[in-house]
Amino acid sequence: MKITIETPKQGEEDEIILRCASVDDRLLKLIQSFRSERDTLTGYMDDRIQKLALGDIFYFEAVDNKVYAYTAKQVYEVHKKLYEIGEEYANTDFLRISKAIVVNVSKITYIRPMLNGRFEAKLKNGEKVIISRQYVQALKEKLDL
Amino acid sequence: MKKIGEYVKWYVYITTSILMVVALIFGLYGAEELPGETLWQILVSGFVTTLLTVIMVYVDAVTVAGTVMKFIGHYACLCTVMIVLGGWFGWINLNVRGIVLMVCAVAAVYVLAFGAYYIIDLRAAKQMNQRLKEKYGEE
Repeated sequence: MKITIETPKQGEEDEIILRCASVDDRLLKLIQSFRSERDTLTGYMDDRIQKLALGDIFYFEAVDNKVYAYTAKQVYEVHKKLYEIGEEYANTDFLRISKAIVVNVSKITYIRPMLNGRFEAKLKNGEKVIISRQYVQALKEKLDL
Repeated sequence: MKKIGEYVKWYVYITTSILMVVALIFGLYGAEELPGETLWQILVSGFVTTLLTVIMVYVDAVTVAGTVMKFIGHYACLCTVMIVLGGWFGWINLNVRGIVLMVCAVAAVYVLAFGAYYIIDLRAAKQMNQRLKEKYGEE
């Protein structure tokens, strides 16, 4: 595949044009990935309401019927169910890794196995999350393994 | 389907580990021949202990204490089942010495099987880390 990068004229908006015979899964994932960087969702912290860029979210966690979005340093409540997030962002870097967590795979620094049969993922902000054994295969697929 | 795959993997690791421990015990106690029925008994004990393992190990424990309790419970269940099977198969006498011997044998199988599984997991983690580096390393 040929990749051409052109500089737009002054005053013109940045634009991505895909020229292809057919839109396959790989291309769809790429498009979704670009879109997700710009996608936002609403986060609630105390009395504040904030637009969160999807690309800034490290992981979502369900705790006591509430779902929280964790950015590098902040935690926001989001008014969505964890399964909705898992389904809605299935074609992005987000992946369900346990009953309670959907992680942004692009924020993982490394993965290591634990003696209890599960895996632990260290994130770029230093936090660690547990990957349940039954979700390891999905992670491998996400990483094209 | 995934569960069956996991079961088969655990069955191979556990049964091989049992076989190794039995071979070691036979070697230590100087038995010259392994009775034919012992091989079937190893397969049966592998089947039962794998079933227990697949049921118990995948229960998600939230806290460290919960995880420790889960593994202690798992080990205790394995010992109980193997003492019953060992007595039934005539592998041990159901006295203190026989029970201690079986508890030690189960510990040896536990270390071997989980050790093998951990090594496989290490390899899987290495592959995933490599892919993470290739895919997101430059970010």
